[in-house]
Amino acid sequence: MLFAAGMGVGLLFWGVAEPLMHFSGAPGNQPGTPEAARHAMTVTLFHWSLHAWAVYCVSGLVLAYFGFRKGTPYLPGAPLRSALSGVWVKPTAWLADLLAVIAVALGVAGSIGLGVFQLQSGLHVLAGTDSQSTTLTVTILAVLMVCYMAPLMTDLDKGVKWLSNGNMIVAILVLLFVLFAGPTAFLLRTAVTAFGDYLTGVVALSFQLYPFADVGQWLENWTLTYWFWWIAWAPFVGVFIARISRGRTIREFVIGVMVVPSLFSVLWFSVFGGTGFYEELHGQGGMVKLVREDVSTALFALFDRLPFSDLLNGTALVLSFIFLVTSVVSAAFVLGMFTSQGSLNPSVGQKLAWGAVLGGLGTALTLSGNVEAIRTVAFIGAIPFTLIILLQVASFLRALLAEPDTQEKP
Amino acid sequence: MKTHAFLVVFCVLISACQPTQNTVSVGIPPSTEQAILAHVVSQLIEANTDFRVRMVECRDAYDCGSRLAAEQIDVMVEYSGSALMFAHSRHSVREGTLEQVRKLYEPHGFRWLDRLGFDSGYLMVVPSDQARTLGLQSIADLNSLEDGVRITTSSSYWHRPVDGLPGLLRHYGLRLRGKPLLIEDPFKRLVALHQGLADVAIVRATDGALRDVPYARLDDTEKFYGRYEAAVVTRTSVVNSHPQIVEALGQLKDRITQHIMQNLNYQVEIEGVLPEMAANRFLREAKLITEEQLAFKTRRPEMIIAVDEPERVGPMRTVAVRVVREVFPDHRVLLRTTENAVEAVVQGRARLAVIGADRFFPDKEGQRFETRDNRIEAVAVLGTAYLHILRRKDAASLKNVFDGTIGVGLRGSERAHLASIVLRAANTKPTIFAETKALLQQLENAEIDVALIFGLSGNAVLHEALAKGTLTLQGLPDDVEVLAPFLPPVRIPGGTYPGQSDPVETVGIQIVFASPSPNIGPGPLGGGPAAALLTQNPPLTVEQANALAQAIGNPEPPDPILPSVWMRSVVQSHAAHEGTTGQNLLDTVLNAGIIVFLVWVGMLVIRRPTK
Repeated sequence: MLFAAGMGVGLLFWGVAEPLMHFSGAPGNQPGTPEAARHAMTVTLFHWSLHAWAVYCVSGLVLAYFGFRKGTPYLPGAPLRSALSGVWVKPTAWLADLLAVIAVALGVAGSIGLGVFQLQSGLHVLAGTDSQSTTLTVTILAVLMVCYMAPLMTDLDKGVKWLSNGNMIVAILVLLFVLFAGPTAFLLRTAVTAFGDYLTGVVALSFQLYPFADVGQWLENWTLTYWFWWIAWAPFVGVFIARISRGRTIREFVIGVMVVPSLFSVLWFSVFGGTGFYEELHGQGGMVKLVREDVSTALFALFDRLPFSDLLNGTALVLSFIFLVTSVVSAAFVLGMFTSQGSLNPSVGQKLAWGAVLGGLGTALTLSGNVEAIRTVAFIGAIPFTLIILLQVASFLRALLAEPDTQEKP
Repeated sequence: MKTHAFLVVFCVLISACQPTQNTVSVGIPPSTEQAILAHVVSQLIEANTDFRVRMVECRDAYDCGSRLAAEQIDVMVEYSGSALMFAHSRHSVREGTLEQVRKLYEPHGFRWLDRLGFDSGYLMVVPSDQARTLGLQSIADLNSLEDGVRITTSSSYWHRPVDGLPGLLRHYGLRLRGKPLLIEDPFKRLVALHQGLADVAIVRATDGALRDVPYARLDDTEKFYGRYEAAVVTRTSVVNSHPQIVEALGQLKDRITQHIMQNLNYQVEIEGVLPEMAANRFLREAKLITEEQLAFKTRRPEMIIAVDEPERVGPMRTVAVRVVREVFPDHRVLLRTTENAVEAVVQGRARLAVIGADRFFPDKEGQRFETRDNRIEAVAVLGTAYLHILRRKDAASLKNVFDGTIGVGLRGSERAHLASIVLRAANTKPTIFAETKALLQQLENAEIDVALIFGLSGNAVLHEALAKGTLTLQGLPDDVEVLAPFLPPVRIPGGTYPGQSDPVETVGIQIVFASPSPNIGPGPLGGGPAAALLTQNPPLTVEQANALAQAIGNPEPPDPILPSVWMRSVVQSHAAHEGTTGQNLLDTVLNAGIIVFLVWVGMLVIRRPTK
């Protein structure tokens, strides 16, 4: 559930593509060399492991702590109201709620775009439809909207949860299949190496701002974009994490939300990225070229080279679609919550309205054809919310410090 | 019941363990056409029988034949003429009908099945305008060339003693000027012909490269060329033991016409479709199989060339597709007709567009081309379309070229737009809008007085029209200044058209390949995850642009007024470290603000709540 909500369709989209992209373009290494491959895995994990889950973790932890300990509603502004005092707190908390809504709406709309592209590529691969057709894009968007509007209308909360967990299980089965049908030994070696490289490199990479190399643009376009995406999704994923962690200690919470999913990310990218590398370096080749031309075909191109490729491609399509539907349903639910004073049962009308807004935004982003606009829009939501997260952390620490001493001092 | 089940399992196991029994081997010689046909045969067998097909690559057609005799392969596709040549039959190849070949080979254990429906005979071709100028109609006319004839052909044709070039030269008594130019690729052979490296080219009637190019074939008046009817060949033993195969292949009888075969060759030779793909597409279109064969889905990136007025590209269509494929050999190249080629490139629906230089300058009312579209870049020049101003000879006027009713290209077309720009400079307007051929007709019938036609210099249509002697080509009057930056003055050299002895001054427009400019934004490689959402087409690199220009064989660079790949490096190096004082100040203020914010947040935590 956590994974489906937090990363979902992105895993399918970037699992193969991102390591291969960095292989031929990330700064710091001669593209195409073995060192570049190692570095590519490290950079990919840097984007998808601890840092992503740390953002979610903070967001979820703050909401959970204040929700369970202080009984405040699940609103991003609630911790501020509860722990801070001053004239500025009320408007800031109100702003926090508003910014969270904007960040989630814009962030999820971006993911809709991503998912629609992947679906279109998949249909092109499987059924030979036109990969560039605008009509098809609109059709996919329309089908998608019908599919997520239905669960929003009826109270199918349980069904959606079941669907997203089932989807995750299928994704894990696909992962295992690729692991064992692909070059298993190579993939396991990749996983171990990538894990080690990541552990040793994560600190350096976290502080790397490239002052001595002219790659500021790359950093902004890749790393920062990811950070802002995670931040944009944080209020929404945070609510979901918070809801399922009643009764956990903070330590358990951090391990459960940061460490376990990060390890899964390592495995996922090692298997999919690793198979891509294997094909590029030891197999038929041509993967990097394909990815550079059209990112959305990467996964399908890889599946083509494995046994049962049609089944795999079909499964990938279904997975993408369901990830997308569950994300939008959950997002509409959370947005409904945010806009009804944190009520755990937002009205159907509210959820439908948010569903329509998300659909509209997604359609606009998909059809606009302006990358700068998409990035700007995503940043508009996320940058101010970054400040809010810092304030949330401050509130949280203040509240912790104010707790009666129950633990022994070191 | 149990025994039955056991038997079934046993039978399955047995059959699984003996794969050779169920395998048919099909030979593929290394020629495009035979490879396509071999795949047609194999896919048809797999779809209609239980046999698995093994493809065996042969060194050449003769090798295939000997392997067939040695039972290493079971089926191949062969031409009647070639088979007669291999057999060194006393029948001359030109009588080589399928019936004769069948009779000749039957006693040796070979069985020729029904004809596929086309004859892939050899042709001798010359550029159509040259045929007219030199009065060439038949192969025998080549004897009129004083220094002998320069021929380009394939090396296999050069080495066939009986029905190949040596035989041909003997038969017609032709003299060669220099060694024949041996080029394997039929398209490149035609390019060499077009570039004047040879006087005639020998091609096969079904070559894909011939499809869109206007060439005149020389008549074989003395009946040298044989017949090359294609058919499936197998052994009599195979026919007897596997009648299902013969039955399945029987469906191909007369199904592949000359036209179909040429299209299949075009797909493979020009567009870069894999032979098995082309074969599969044909079989599905002909409703001979229903399913797409899934065995060969090696994904290849697509390279889409957008065209919005296919007419204007005309014969350059084939050249455009082919040169792009030469530069991007691992791509599938597709030519797509779109509403607006420029927008298709900008929106990432196509990687390249074939457009006129005017498209870089959107012409808005009242504006004189002040704005330039920098979202696209000129990559390489395909050619220049010259403005031809035609009048009837009896109504020719040097001073007032534009007197009377004026006809231009179809309303809304780019040609009409360009012609209007020229006419605006002469303070007049077009009256009639029609297609080129209709315009010429109307001009001859005195329904209009002037026709403005854009086309390549020396193109066949105008050549034909001017050869009749009633029309004349006029220059643009000196006092007409066309101030459009994309219509520079050019000269049509004297003698380009029949009856035109003096050079004619006019204007011309470059037809270029355009690709997305890096100004649209970086591709996903440097553009990050958000860029992957929309931009699917990275701009061409300078090396790729260079390679394209070389493949076209046109040394002409894009007009410097166009934004082009070549300008890019200069502009970028200047822009890299740019940053205005205002921006720097804003950056500093923002950074300072964030530091203050962080300190404040820290203070919030440290200051214990006072109660």
